[in-house]
Amino acid sequence: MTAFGPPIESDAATAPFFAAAARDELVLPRCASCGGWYPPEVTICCGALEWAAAAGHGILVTWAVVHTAPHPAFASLLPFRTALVELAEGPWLQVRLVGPGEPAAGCPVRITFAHPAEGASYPVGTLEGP
Amino acid sequence: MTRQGLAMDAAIVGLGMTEVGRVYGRSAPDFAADAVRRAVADAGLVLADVDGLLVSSGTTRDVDVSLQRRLGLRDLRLLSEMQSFGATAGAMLGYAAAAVTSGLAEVVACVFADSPRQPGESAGAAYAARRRFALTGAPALRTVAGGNPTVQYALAARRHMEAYGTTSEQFGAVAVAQRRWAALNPLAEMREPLTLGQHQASRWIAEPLHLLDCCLVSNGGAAVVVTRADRAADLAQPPVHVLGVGQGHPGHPAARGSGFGLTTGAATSGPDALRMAGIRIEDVDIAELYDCYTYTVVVTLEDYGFCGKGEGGSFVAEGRTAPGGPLPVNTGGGQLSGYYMWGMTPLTEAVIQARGRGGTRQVPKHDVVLVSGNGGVLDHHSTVILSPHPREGRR
Repeated sequence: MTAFGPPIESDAATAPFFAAAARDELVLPRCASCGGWYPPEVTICCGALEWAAAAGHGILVTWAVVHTAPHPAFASLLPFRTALVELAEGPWLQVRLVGPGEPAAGCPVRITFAHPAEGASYPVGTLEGP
Repeated sequence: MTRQGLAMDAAIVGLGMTEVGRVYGRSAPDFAADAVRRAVADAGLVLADVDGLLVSSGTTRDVDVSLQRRLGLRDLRLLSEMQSFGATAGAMLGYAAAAVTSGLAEVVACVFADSPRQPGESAGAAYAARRRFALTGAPALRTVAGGNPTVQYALAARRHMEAYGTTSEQFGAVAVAQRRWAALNPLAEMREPLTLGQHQASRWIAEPLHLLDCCLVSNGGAAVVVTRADRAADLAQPPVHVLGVGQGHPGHPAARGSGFGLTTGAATSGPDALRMAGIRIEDVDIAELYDCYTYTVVVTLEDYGFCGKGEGGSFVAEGRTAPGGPLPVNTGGGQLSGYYMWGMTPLTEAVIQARGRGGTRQVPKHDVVLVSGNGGVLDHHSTVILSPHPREGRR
């Protein structure tokens, strides 16, 4: 896939997330004690958080069409859509929307993965028909 | 819950603003020192009277506690740098009011300054140049998804539109109403008339936000001086009493059930401040609302209860907030058309209106002025309620 935006990398806390993304798998932090699911940035709950396989789909909460490059590496690719997706497990994930389809709140979204030549793989979203 | 009977015994007695806007070649600390000097002089005080200093930075992040030495202030009893972004000015005022009420300090200056703009550079470029991009770990996911503060506000605005049927034209009505106010304000940067058609024709920044849904970016500084209400009576300006303050930091989770885009901290900081002031929202004569984007005004009007949830767009489109309307909002043009001094924009205009010094834009009835501050992406909120009169039952 062609580069889209700046290259990013994992850190110690998110290494399993990005390693899973490289395998086209979505994992999320899940609490070993209460079973609660969290977005990737959350690191604390009542018990230990473990990375667990997520279903990889959700619904569209909201979206925006980006016309001014938020980072110089997006400049040649404008406009594009970004979205907040509510995953089936409950956490939200912000992803770039790829592929066709008119967005509306509640649209089903499938999570796929971008594998840029440089930097870590990361999730993107595809609108699915109703 | 605000404690029953808690009240502030504090008034804003000095207001200082530097030249604001496309003013080049001065650092933010320089603007900050200038603003404090002006505010102290405006109050009829001297710098040696100041025993408390609260400072806050904008995008350049370089106004800090070293401002004390730049101003030559000795033996301060209160000194701190504060940061809750657009909510800071209102929050600082709350801390200053609490400090003088409790006796922690006598005369507290609160200042904000920023200097992001360079000659020949657009507002967006000036703002973006100051940002650092997260490229590592979980925060990098937002970067690579194309997020930035404006994009996150676009996401919030779109969620409001989807939930309540709010329209871009209604956002445009905010911009048009505020431009009408700005036309009456000699301090405002954008004073030429604006039509809804021009708003709609302005380019997209992040759809649903047009260029004219976005605030300005300005260089400059603003400060206020706060002291006890009894001391205020002897000073140079008519006192502006602090009747109530509140903060609200909703901490919306990024997960199912989140109120992101739908409700803000105004929903809690507003009632707290009103309770402290001993008034109801219906008693507010003028609202100075934080307006990083037009949408922010719409959602804030709702959260304060000036209208029902989801009715903010039509409330503004009916002309209620424009000159001549029943609820004057952002009477100096706000950050969309006036100047971008973060939370100092609504606060400075509120002081001007409460003093009755608004010139041709002065609202005749200005007994209660509500000020909102909003920071982060709707993460932080402050409310301040000001009046030319002391709280009922005090003196």
